[in-house]
Amino acid sequence: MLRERERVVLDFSRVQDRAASGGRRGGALDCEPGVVRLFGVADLGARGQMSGWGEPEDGHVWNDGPQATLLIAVPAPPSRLLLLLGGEPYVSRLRPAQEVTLFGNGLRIGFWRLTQRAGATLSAPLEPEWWLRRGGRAVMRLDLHLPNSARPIDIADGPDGRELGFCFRTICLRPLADEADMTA
Amino acid sequence: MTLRPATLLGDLRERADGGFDGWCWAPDRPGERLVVDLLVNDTVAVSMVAGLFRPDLLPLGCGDGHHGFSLRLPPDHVPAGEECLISARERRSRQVFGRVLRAGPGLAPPGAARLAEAAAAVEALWRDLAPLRTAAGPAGRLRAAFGRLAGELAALERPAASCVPGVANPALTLVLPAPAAAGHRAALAPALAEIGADIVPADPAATPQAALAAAGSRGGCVVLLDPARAPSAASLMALARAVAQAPDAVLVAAPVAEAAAALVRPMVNATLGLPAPLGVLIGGPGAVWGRLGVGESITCGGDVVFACADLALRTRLLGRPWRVVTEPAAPIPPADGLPPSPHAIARLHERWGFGA
Repeated sequence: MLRERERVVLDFSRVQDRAASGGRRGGALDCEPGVVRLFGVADLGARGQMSGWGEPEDGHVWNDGPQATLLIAVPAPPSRLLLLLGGEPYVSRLRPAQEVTLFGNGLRIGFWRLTQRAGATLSAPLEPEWWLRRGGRAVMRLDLHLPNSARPIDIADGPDGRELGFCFRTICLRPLADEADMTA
Repeated sequence: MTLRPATLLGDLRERADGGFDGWCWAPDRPGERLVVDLLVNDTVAVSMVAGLFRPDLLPLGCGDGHHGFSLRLPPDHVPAGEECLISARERRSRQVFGRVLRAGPGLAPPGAARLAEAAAAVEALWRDLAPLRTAAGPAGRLRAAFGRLAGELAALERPAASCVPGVANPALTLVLPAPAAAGHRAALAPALAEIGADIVPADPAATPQAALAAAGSRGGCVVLLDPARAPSAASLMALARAVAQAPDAVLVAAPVAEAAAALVRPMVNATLGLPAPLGVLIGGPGAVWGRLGVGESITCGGDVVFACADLALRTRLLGRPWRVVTEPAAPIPPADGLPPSPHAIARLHERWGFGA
């Protein structure tokens, strides 16, 4: 049985193969520490979104399904960083809470239970040793588990047939000293 | 000299909540999402890709309109209590396209933002009501009609046993909690008649805006909040003198009983909606004012003599003049930041008859 970390490395190989073969989602999302990037068509498009994502929209992108995988990269060697994911959970009367578990390269690094349909920032520290070195870059596979994702059409909340859990708007990797939410 | 064409367009505005909105677009790179650095005194505090959609950019011909940004400064990047310059700079060209001067995090405490919002709302309401404040024309007649209607409504609220005819043009209107109004009216009938004053009862279980509006439409307005005690005739006369001195003033004279403390805050808030350029807040046990968090106060022997800072601040925010009404015989020092002398405080107690 493969250890978890080895499995992650193998997964990376598959991801890189897919990127090399001209996959629609492309390769890892290059993040410059300190810069807020925007999900959606205007900035990130589908970059780094390996699986479990809807089509990028204007200023945001939804997950589509109970697990979404995002591949991010920073210049190596990475420092201690704070991952900030800004967005809004899909919460309705029939889906009163969204639970989000975040794994980074197989390590569980965060859990949130969101009950308000309002702007929220998921923040989690990323230690340097959690990253995998690939040439001059350090890469991390972020797996977001959203088991409460729901299709609005199934719960009489609209015609959308996607399985929605969280609407992602911004991503930022910041030096860990600054833990405040930056985006509006 | 040859003018170079603009290579960068943008804007930076500060929001009421302390965050920043703006946009940035380079005509020579029309499709590029530019990275904007927000600098605090020339130090980069936070950066963002300017890619938010702003519909107002489309008529300007700025690309596809996806060139906006919205940021909040990390608290540790703002010097505490010092003026600082916030600049927005496009990263690649290093061109600064927007600047905002502000003074540290003290400018954006949660309370100040909410207060500014409330002040803006009140100001808007004040502007909307401007036509009703003019005396001439249909608006003036409407105002007079409203005043008569308010008087009639107030009369209907009075218990029949103590109901006396309302004064047509009172020199002074008292707003008293309804249960106490009847008794006070009877006790004060001679004094009320002498100074041409009237009483408007307020429902203590409801917000006092209606009663205050009724009183405000009729003349000088004095709000007495103590449901357990009738004001003395001497107090009433002192109030009448003060109102005569400043006929447009709203006076919140508050010999506040502990039991009535909950009424004070909504009363004070309600006075801000009245068309009065002056505000005065006088008296009451210090413990009550302290619990209400009413701004700065000047105490004397455990009683708060002036607790006017909160109201003064808000009237200033509304751009309305502020001063303390004084008695000609014994001037009370104006609220110009200097505390009144002990002599003046003692005289105030003596003349106005307030206190614990």
